[in-house]
Amino acid sequence: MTTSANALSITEQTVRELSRRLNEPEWLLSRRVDAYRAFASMAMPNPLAEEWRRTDISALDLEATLAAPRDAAATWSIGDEAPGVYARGHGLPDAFFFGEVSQALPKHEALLREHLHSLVLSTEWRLSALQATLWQQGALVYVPRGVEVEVPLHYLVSGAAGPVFPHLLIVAEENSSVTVIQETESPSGQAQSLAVGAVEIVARPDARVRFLEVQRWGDNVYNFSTIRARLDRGSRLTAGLVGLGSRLTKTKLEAIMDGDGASAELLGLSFGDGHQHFDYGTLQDHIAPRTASDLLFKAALEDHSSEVWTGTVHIQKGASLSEANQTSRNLLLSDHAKAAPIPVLEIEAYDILRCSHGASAGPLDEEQRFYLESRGIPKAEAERLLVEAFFQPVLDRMPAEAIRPRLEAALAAKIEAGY
Amino acid sequence: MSTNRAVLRIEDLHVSVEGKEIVNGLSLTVPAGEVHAIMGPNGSGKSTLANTLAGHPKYQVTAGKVYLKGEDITDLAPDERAKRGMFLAMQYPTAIPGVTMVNFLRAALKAVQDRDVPVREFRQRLQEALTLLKMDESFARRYVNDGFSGGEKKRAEVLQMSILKPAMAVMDETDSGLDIDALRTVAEGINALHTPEMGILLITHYQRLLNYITPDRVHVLYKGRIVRSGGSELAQALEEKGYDWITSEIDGDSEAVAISKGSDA
Repeated sequence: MTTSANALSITEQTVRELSRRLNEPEWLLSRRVDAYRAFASMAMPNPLAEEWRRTDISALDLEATLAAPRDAAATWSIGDEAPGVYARGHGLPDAFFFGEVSQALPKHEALLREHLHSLVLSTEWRLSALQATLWQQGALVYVPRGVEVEVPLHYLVSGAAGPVFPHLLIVAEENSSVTVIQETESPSGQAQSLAVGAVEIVARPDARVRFLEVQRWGDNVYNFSTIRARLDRGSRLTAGLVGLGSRLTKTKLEAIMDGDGASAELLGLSFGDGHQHFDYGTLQDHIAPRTASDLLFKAALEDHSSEVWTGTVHIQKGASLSEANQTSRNLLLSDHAKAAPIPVLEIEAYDILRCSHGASAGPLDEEQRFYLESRGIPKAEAERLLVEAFFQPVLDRMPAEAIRPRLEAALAAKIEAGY
Repeated sequence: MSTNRAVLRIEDLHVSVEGKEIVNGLSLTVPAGEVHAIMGPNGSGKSTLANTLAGHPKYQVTAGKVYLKGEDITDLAPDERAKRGMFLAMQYPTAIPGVTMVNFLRAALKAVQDRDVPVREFRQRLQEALTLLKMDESFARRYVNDGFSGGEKKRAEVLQMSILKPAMAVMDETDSGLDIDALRTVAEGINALHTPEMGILLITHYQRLLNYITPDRVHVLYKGRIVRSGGSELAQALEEKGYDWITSEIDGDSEAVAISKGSDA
């Protein structure tokens, strides 16, 4: 039994009040209450469990972070238009929706009821139960059958203070196409804070979904998130994670390929400095035949920063003629930085096409640095150029066109600050 | 200082690599406007000398001094040397995927000139350099040395020299890997870049580059020291007779000892 439930500043009553304030229907209220009860009955994970051995959250003061007043906002925008709570236009049909979940309720209640927390469950661990209890400013992307949304959809979550619990649900119907960019940000130099987020992606047959998350939480945020996609027959997912902010991040990125011929491209880019810690757990789950996945994660680590990447390829019995690849590259820019790339291969099908993996961790190439320096480029700038060059191939593959200059500037500023 | 006409002066240089002394007691002066050639058999220390002059961290100077335009640069970092006018055209230029030639060249020019070079001015310099070396414009958009053929790499080194306009160019085997047409283009490029204020040190195994660039002085490097110096006719003699007639003179005694030891065994 947990001792902290009563000590925490949230009670079943505060959950009911939150749901009432948001005008939520009964089913949503009861889901929040169920999640709250799960949260109250669960303990924090055992630090000795394999999944938590390399990620130490003992310094997280859950009670204090939850007691802080919540001040967060989200905005939704399509392409270049001004942000709002509900974005539309661009010649998209009425059935298309992009905006706050509460705005979607009247029209898409059945859809929300079917999919909200259907992929990321409230029972996974204590803080996923917390997220399912308190999530707010959630976003729904609904792309009807055959609709191709050409401009990227932009979901920005800004936390001014206190804990943040974002939620994004993407449902792409058969043969549709969409690009969604989620950005998270909050100021640095604040008291310890908490972010727990979930992203659920449902790709119907032959849908094409491109998702990019740019994580720029403040430097004292403990950030936990789960991004999970279920890919139907012939659908294609590209999911990219850019990790720049937070004190500690533990993110799961999982592609469940349960439709024949589905494919997933999983991309990661992170730059750590100070005492930042990133923990990425990825899953390429091949259930159906002829599924294909490709993963490329790159991390550059300065100072005392560290990263753990645990990448699982699971090719299940029925997944004949599937192929999977995973590559993890880690650049150690200081003697104190640490990277632990851990590939895990579970292959149960005997007739797969290919399964390859590679992982490395090491310092900058001495000869490359000397070459640049021998042309007059100072050491720090040479290293910066090489770090940017290191990221280039993964950046090129991310669905980042719309925010590329801003993203590159943020990355350059972060790298610059590291030197 | 104006009386000091030496661009490069090396005094009794000793260099070790991983604890092994490769250059031992090398002295050399290259005056402004001159081309000197250093020739020598494999393993004589040619590349060690070249990399040491550029400040490669792997090469430790254990004794001696290197002066560039009268200034002691022996302990300077590679970028500080480059800013003072040192340039090494490398034998094996490193590929840097992810960094385009154009970004690299701009960063280098900005660093060497210590000013923001306007885009227009940079473009013009780049265009002139490409024309001089008969290189296509698309070259500038490629990643540094990435996927370059042997000849392209060597041209790219001279292209950089053309844009950075160093006071002292050390060219390490710039002729190797070039076919005859490329050799001529590269040599013509070097000749066109050679100003009366500039010194050039050509490091080469063969004398074929010297058919196009006439050196003022030729030095033979052997076992880490200069064992003979002469005019351009020395290169000719080396081409005809090889190195043995010089190296056997030096080795005479020690080799005789080695042979007698061998026959004893």
